[in-house]
Amino acid sequence: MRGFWRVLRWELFKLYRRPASYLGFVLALVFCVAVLIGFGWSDLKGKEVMGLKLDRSVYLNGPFYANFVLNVGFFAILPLLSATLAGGQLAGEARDGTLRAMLLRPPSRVTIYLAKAAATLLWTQLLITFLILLALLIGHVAYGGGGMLIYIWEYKRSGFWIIPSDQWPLMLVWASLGAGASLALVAGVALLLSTLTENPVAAHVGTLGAFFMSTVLQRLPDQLMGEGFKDLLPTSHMNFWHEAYRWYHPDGSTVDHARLWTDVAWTGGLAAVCFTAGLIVFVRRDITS
Amino acid sequence: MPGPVVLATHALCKRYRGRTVVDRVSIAVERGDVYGFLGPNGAGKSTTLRMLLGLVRPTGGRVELFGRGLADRRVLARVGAIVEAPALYTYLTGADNLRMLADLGGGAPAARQVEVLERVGLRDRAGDPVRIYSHGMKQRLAIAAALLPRPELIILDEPTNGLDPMGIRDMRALVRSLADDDGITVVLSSHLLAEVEAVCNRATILARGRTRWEGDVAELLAERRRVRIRARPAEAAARALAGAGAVREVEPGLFHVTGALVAPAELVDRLVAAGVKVDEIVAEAPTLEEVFVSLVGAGEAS
Repeated sequence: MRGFWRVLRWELFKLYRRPASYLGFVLALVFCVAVLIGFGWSDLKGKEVMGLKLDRSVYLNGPFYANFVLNVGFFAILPLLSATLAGGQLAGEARDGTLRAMLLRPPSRVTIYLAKAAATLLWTQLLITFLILLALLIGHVAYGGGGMLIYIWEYKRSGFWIIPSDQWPLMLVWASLGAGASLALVAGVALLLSTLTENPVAAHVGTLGAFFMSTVLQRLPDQLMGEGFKDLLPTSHMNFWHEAYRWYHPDGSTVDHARLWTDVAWTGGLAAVCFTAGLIVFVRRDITS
Repeated sequence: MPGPVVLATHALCKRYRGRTVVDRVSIAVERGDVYGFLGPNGAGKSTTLRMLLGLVRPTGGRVELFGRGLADRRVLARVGAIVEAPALYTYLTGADNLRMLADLGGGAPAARQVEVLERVGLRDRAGDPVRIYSHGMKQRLAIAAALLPRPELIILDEPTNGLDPMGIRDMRALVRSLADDDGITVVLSSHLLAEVEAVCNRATILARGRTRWEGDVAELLAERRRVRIRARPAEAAARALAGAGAVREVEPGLFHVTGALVAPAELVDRLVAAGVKVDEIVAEAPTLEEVFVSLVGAGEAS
């Protein structure tokens, strides 16, 4: 166990010192600015959706902006960053030859793999936290504070609701932790592919290809793509963290516990399968680079 | 008297997709040896070294380091190694690379890190990122990393690859110094015969994954040492040389004596005593290259 913490510390140190690790933070900033510009050009004044007058003074504030960034970012940039990070962990080091330098030291392959997986998950969580904090900062400066409007499409039957300003910070924390846990599946796939190749780009592209294919199929209308099939798609279960927003509702908590735990089990189970498969491959693999 | 065996392989094999690249290689490296793996490219040297270090899983046979199998990873704390090109984190400084590898190996005091940096002449550049190091500096830093845990065994894969002539000379001197001054056992692979001849006391010659010869380099060269004699009359000379070693008359009056059991001066005495006139006598010491070609065959050697 001591060996694990020692390797994890160095894995985090390497991420901290590697310039490429900061690409994600730069992209997060670019994404926030792009959303800000998009909001600036929007014109919803006087329009009404599901009983809510889309007056900017009602909904557009710092918390809404931050939540919007997290929700769109979860499908737009966070999988990309997670896949890039995890894909480079083993394949990148195998390509550079540094993996064999690590394997020539006493820590076992199991320890090294687990430390790399843990470092990937921690760095991904750090990226999500940075994205949210940056969005909150930008949103508050641009639009001010207030309650957080919840507009999530899959809860359309529940309509829109606003979480008061003393409630949303905790929910945003849970949502961000949930999003991080959900992205463990993306990291697991990327790490598995990373054990099979010495080309980090292949691991990265393979993971994103699978992710976007699943997302597109999941979003096709039910008439075209049966619900039973959609239930088998990983991305159908990765939004479980949205349930965090339903802890507060003007009519009381509306959390769908059955759905929450089913989705957690699917996502967690698939992630565990990927991490375990990656571990088995890595332990048995010949290092020829 | 042979020292304790530090590294041993027993019928080590590796097959890739039905192709055998290492075939039943058995060696025993004793403490204090500078042991060479010699062979042409593709002979299986690097694969063998990788199996010694647990990077590649053998498909047959086993490896023992200090009498233990590689399942006990603690033995690697007693080993320093450089496999192929120096493997370093280019975005870290030289000192950070050393600190990390030291820590992963169980820790080495800061004073030891300074000591090895000084030994390889990099103390003043330790704070620079490795990406601005030259190839020779990277190689020296990799050596510092290998020396850091005060290893009892160092394994070097083609240690002079990519070095300039000065770097090659320094590397060979360092290898000899590790063995002679520090008492470290060294195992190295090389396709350069001169390198093995210059620094190794024992060696294995590999070709197509198989051991062609294994043993003491000096003995191998002595066995192949040849004395060329031109004498007449040929019949009397042949009689006088009988029993002096393996004698071959390559043309009338020209004899090659290999594995000579007596010194050249004594051969002359024998011939003169037999009334033979010696026109020429030359002691020819073969290079390892000639021996290598004779063992492996010219086609494979190239």
